[in-house]
Order: sequence, then C-alpha cells, then structure tokens
Amino acid sequence: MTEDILKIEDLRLNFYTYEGVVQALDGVDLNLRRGETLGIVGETGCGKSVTGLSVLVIVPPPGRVEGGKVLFSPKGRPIDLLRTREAILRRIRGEFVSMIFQDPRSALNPVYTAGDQISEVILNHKRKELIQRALERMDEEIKSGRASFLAGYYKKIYEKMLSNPRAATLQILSRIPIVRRYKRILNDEAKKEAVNMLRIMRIPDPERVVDMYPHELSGGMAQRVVIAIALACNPEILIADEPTTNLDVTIQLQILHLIKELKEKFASSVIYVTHDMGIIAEMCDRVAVMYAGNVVELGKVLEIFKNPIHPYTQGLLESIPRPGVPFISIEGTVPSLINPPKGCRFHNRCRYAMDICTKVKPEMVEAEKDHFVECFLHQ
Amino acid sequence: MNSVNTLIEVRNLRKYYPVFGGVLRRKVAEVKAIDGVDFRIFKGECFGLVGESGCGKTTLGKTLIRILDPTTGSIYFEVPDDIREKINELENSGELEGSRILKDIRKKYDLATYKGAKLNSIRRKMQIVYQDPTTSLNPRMLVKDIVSEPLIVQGLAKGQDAKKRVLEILYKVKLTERHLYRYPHEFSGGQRQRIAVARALVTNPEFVVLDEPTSSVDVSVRAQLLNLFQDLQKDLNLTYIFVSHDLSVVECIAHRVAVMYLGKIVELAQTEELYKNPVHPYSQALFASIPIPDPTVKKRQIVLTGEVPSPVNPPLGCRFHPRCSEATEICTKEEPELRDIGNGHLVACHLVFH
Repeated sequence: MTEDILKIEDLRLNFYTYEGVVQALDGVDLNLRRGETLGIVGETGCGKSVTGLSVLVIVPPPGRVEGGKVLFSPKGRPIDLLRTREAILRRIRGEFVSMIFQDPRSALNPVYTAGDQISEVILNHKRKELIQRALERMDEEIKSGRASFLAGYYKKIYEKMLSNPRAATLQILSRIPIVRRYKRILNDEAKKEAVNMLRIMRIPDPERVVDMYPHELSGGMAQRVVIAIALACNPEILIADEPTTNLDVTIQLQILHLIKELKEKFASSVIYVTHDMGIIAEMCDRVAVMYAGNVVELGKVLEIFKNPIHPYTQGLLESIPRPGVPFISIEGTVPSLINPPKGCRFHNRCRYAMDICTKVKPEMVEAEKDHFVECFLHQ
Repeated sequence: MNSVNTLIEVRNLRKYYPVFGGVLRRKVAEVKAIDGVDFRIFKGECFGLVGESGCGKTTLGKTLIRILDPTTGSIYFEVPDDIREKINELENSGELEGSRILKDIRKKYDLATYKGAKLNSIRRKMQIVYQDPTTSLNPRMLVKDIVSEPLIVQGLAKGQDAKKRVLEILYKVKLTERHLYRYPHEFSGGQRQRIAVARALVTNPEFVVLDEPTSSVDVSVRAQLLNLFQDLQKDLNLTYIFVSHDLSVVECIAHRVAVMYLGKIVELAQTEELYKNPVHPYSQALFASIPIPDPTVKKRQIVLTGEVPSPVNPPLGCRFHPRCSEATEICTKEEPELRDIGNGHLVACHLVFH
C-alpha cells in the first residue's frame, strides 16, 4: 500500500453566522495517497468544498477551524497545516498544494490579464529560477553586443537579487519609478513561462491569450487559465473543486482529460470535489461520500458503486436517472447544520434508522478491506 | 405518427437579436439565436431539446410561447388537419391568390401573427417553468398571490374561486394549505420549483415549456421533481417541451429529442433511437461525453476540439464543420438539410447521404 501524502484527522469547522453556529464539518477523517485521485461527493452544503479550503487553510470568515489535524507529508515527517505559520503556508500554497476553483469567472481577477495571474504564481514560487534565467539571457546579450547601455547595471541588480533578495538597496530601487524598470526582464521571463503553461493547457494561440482579460475568455478557456495557475509550480496535491460544474459536457470532457493527463505528467495527487457520480466513476480511484459535514463512506470507486454500504450512498446511486426505471429519490432534505440531528445526521432520512441512530454518533469502521463506513448497521 | 395529434408545428422559425454598436448605436450585426427551425410537437408527448449553452435552446422555448417575438417563421398551434394540408399546398404553390388565402389562415392559426387580446387569451394554454425558482418567484409576494396571479390576469377567477383553484393545484404539486401564506424564501429549492410549477399549471394549460427545471437542485430533489413532472403529464394530459443540457435526465423523461447546434436542429428522433444510434457527428460526440456513473464501463470517448463558434458569424456550410472530424469539402460549402432516414429519425448531415 502506498503512503499517505495528506491525512485529515477529526477536522471540525464552524461558521459563526447571525442565525447561529453552523457546524459545517463534524469530525472529517480522510486520507489521500500518493499519486491517487480521491473523489469527494455529496449534495450542496455537505461540506465538500470547505474540506478542500481547509486543506489550504483559506477558510473565509465567519468560518473557523475548531479542531483536528491536516497532516501534509511531502517527504518524510508530516506537518500539520493548521498549526503552521502563515509565512510557511504561503510557500506551501501554490507550490505544494494548490486548488482549482469552481467558478472561473469569479476565481480570476477581472482587472489583470490571464498572463499576469499565471506569472504571479511563478514569480512568487520560482523566483530564483527566473532570476538565473534572466541573468543567462543578459550574458548572452552582452556577448553578442545587442545589450542596452544599462545591461551592466541590470546585471548587478540581478546578481544582488540572487544573493540577497531582501537587501535594502533592492527594496529602495524597486520603488523608484523608471529605475524599477529593471524588473521587466524578470516579468518577461515569467510571461514566457505563462505562455508555456497555456500551451500545455492546449489553448490555441497562447501568445495572444496571455494578454487577454478574463472577460474576453470563454468559460472553457477561463477554466483552463485557472488550471494553469493551479499547476504552474507542479504541486504535489491538486484540489479540484467542481472544476466543470458550469461548463458544457463537451468542454467538461476536454477538461477532465486535461486534468487526468496533467496528473500523470506532474505525478500529483488529486482531490476531486464534485456532485456528479458520473465524473467520480470516470476520474477517481477512491471516493469519499460526504453528508452534512461527515464522511459517511470511503472506499475504492469500484467497490462503492458495486457494493454501497451506507444508506445515503445507496440513495445517491439510486437517484441517478436511468431510462425505463422510475426516478427514485431520497426522501426529505439536507438538515440545517445550525441544529443538526443528534446521533447520526442522516437518521431522519434513513429507511433503516434504528433507535441508537437517533442518540449516538456512529464511528468510522472498516466494513471490508479498505472500505470504511460510518453506520450502525455495520458495527 | 398520426398527424391528427400535432399540437404545434413550427416552420422556418428564426430569431435574430440585433447587436448595436458605433457612436450612433446602429445595428451592426445580428446574433442568429435560432436560424431556421422546423419541427412538430405531438399532443401529450414530452419533447426534449438538448445542446450546449448558447445553441438557442432557451430562445426556442421562449419563442414558441411568444415571450419572445420571432423574426420570421410560423408557429401553428392546434391546427385542424384539413387546414394543415391546405397550408402545405399553398406554401408549395407560390401563387398570388394562394398567398392571400395563406395570409388569412396564418392570421387565424399562426401564433407568430397574434397580437393584443388574442395573444393574451392564447397564453392561458401555454406556460413556462423557468430554470431558477429563486429568481423567477417574486420574493415580496405570498405563495397564494404568486399562484393566483395568472388567474387574475387572465380573468379566470377571483377571490374565493381563485383561492379554491390555487389550493387544488398546490395539492397536485404536493404542497399543502399550510404553505399558502408564506414567502418564497421560506422554502427549499425543490419546494420553490414546485411553486413555480403550480403557477404554470393554474390556468390549465395544454403546453408547458420546462426550461432546465432541474439544473438548480440537488440530485436527490431532482428525482422528486422529475417524478412530479411525469405524474402531472399523465394526470392533466400535458404536452411538454423539456429544455436541458443534462442529457441523462432528458433520456429518462423525453419521448422524442432534438439536438441543437448553433441555432439549428441537427438531429431529431425517438429518444431510444437517438441515444442508441446517434447519426450526426455532433450528437455522437455529445452523447459520448456524458460521464457514465459506472466505473466498470470503459467506453469510446470522442473529445471534441475547440468551442462553439459565435452565432453572430456562424461558419458557412454545415455549422459544425470546423469541429467535425469527418468534414469533407461539401460540408464547408453547402448547408445540409434536415432529412428523414427512416422511422422519423431526422438528420442534417451531408455524410449520411453520401
């Protein structure tokens, strides 16, 4: 069995709203293995996206993580992301763990070009590499005699940037108009990298697209730009939060293939959040079914589709429309998480509910090998 | 198919939206949202309309019930058989005398020519359920007022009569008396959509346009709504046009399905036939791109390259040819017609006939 690259233990998260405390996550346990695609599936408001956000520690207020651990182990010793300093988190986000957001229109900043937004990530995480490349280019230009008269001065600044990026002189120079144009070489290099990224995303004519603003892009293209931002630094974990919900099926298929392909190429592990069972079947190795802030079932995709144990998973699979069969639905609606039902949160919609379900919260148990379930029917 | 049962017949329907530009805000171009569509809807059937966003599905649905005015074309609603034949005859003859008679007939039966009070009264027979009930229901009106408003506007009932009728219809959509004096925000998504359905059905329509009615609700609620639609259709003898981009839902609810691409119908057939044996390359790609919720099935996938072109300047010839893997020379030049390949399976593709 391969090792876990990410392990979420008993994660609790509340939203403090005017109506009351929304207990959005109530002890989520998950693990992501190296190189796998883990699907998270569930209805609206079951906490799928919030789980993704808390891995990056970017839960928006009024949300607050109340307890638990998010253990990330890139190499050897795991670190708990929830107890890491912000400065270190900033390095981890984008470089080691990154996210594709649901709605590309709102994920992109409308006043920056696609290229600007991709190069921002590259400038932050691959700075040294870029400086080195810029220096090489300047050397070449000086040798061939094409360099401007400022080349010597620029070269000195860049060497300084490499040896001591926080030097006081740099801080001052970077604030003086005209003088700070030395940055252009660096930005040029970042833009080249951005074009390269767009080419990997199979965007036609990337040199033109790199200078376009989000409103000029179609939905599919915008989503590719968002993916390019997420993958710009070959992250080890990629969290895809419903990346194809707003797209058409044909474009959705393009994006799904792209994510699959890039996952192989960059050897990342992927957490794929969706509510579409079809996508889960197509994309994922394992799947976690979430309901009202709990993971109720976790196991291999084949296993879960063939032999769903939790009544909620069974209901979800039954509600997939099939021609010739009457539509079957899960009775009732998702309960409000301000006053969640006591015991098992699914009990008031469950057809097998017993007395104990209304009182005690079930524990996660391994029903079969590598197939975990949180239900009293199997304890 | 028996033509006696035709409820709606659409002929050469077009809807162009003007694009204004320049300093003087003059019309500089047209968005060809629907560009020549012909089809029939039979009584009591559920007609599915699928396609990618921007292909004109919703525009077509709205034009059919005259929420939008068509640019050209006719929509014949409940035309008796003999007159239908006469229309066919007249349209083909092209004589001056004939065109005058045709004009009279169109005035009587063609929805596209209706105006004023006549249009208003026919609207009683055709209703629409919109995509998102949070925006289609007025947040400041009580359920009672929302549902009874069509009755009052149409002058069908007032006061106690209206209330009785509202209750009757609320029970039909599985809401109760308790819900009468509440506002839309007090309901869940599925219940709100039920209110919208009740509002559509309160005037006893014959024809209902369902414009992506399940796209804003969760899977478990979606099944409840679809069951409701099917039950109501049987109970009230309704004819639906079901607009959706969710192909698996359409497969389950529709009797016949039309696939649209850039304002044109490219394929139309019985649901089973179409899903099993799509002929047009676009339908093939579209159906192949539905993710199948079964991990054991590994199917052939056709990944379409590129995106839908702009409907302002649709490609010449077959509109699909820039994305079609099998396009030949004729596809770039001539626009294919919608032709029957047997069993009421209509396809617009050059390849099928060569």
